[in-house]
Amino acid sequence: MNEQYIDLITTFPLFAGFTANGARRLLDSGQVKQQPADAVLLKEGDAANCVLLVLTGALEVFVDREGQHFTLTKAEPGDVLGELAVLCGIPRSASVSAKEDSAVLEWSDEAFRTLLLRDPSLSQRIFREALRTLLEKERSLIDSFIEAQDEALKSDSAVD
Amino acid sequence: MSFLDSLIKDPEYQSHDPRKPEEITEPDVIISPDTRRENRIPPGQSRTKKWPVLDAHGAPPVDLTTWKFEVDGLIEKPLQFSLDEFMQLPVVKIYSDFHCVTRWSRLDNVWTGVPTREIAERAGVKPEAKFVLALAYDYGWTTNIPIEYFLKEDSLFAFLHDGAPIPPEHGGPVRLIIPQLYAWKSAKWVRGVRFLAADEAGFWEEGGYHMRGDPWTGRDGERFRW
Repeated sequence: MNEQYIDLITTFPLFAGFTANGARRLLDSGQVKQQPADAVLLKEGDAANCVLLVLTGALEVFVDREGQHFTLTKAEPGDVLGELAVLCGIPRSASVSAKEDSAVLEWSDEAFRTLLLRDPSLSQRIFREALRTLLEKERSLIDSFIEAQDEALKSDSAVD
Repeated sequence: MSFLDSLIKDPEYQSHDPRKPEEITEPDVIISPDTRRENRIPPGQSRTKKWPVLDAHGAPPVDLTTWKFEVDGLIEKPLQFSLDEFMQLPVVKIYSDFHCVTRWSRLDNVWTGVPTREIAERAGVKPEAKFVLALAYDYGWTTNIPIEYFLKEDSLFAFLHDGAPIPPEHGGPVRLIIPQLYAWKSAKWVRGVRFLAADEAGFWEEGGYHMRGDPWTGRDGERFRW
């Protein structure tokens, strides 16, 4: 049933060098789930008990604040989601929903930890990717901060 | 070592500096050529005095009474040995270093066991064989090795490490030792070898690990294919 995803996984940059057997092991260590458009896969504040690999479709990472919906990022096939909360042992920092019909590979937190512990090459890649995502978020936060400051300065001088 | 000592002390801890090859006085020990390098630590590695344990699935149950070692593939004569028969084969001692892809190196090891060349000669390896797949007892685990590395003078199927039987966590009763490649190529709990014309990815290699795995090649050794 998961055969269709084997070749697909070998094309994801995160798994460069994986053969079909290597991809099959990744699939066997988790569970493929089909998600219809608008389904909520992860919910902000929930306990982190799984990690997702997007196989097909498109997902949205978002937070809702005071009735407003903020999209933080979009996730595409090949992206890993929810790994930081699992690694840090903290609740979900954002929610994830399907923008369209999507398939994800879901690893339980235990299966994910086992994958990383057993395979130093894979853990290096996952950590590298997770840290890159964090650094990008930090950069965009700094950008927004500077932008907001510029705006404030402009409106201050407009008042003067 | 007393019971208390064995609780407190790690018997595998190396309290001494690694010996130089010329300090190995036993006449019948083959010196692995990489131990003669001025700097014996490959790029990106650090020396450990311990002997860490790493594996894909933990030590598998190995029944010594039914243990067998099989040789197949591109050979004239398929071979099969019981543990008793395997122990009767000619043995060598190898002085070598041990480099794990997770960046530790354990220097100064003496391995005793059956030279890989002995197995290859008995099996009559066909000239078209260019690669070896080592098969292990842990749930179908395999690793692939270019035949020229498998047949190096310092490659062997070891059953003693520093004179003592190799404990299960380190791959006993018999493990492959290929000192000139990263240690994941030195299959623990080996149960046989297959000679192949074309390279075939083993367990870790299927997950993007290097097909050859030479620690001395490149800026950081041949670790991964990414």
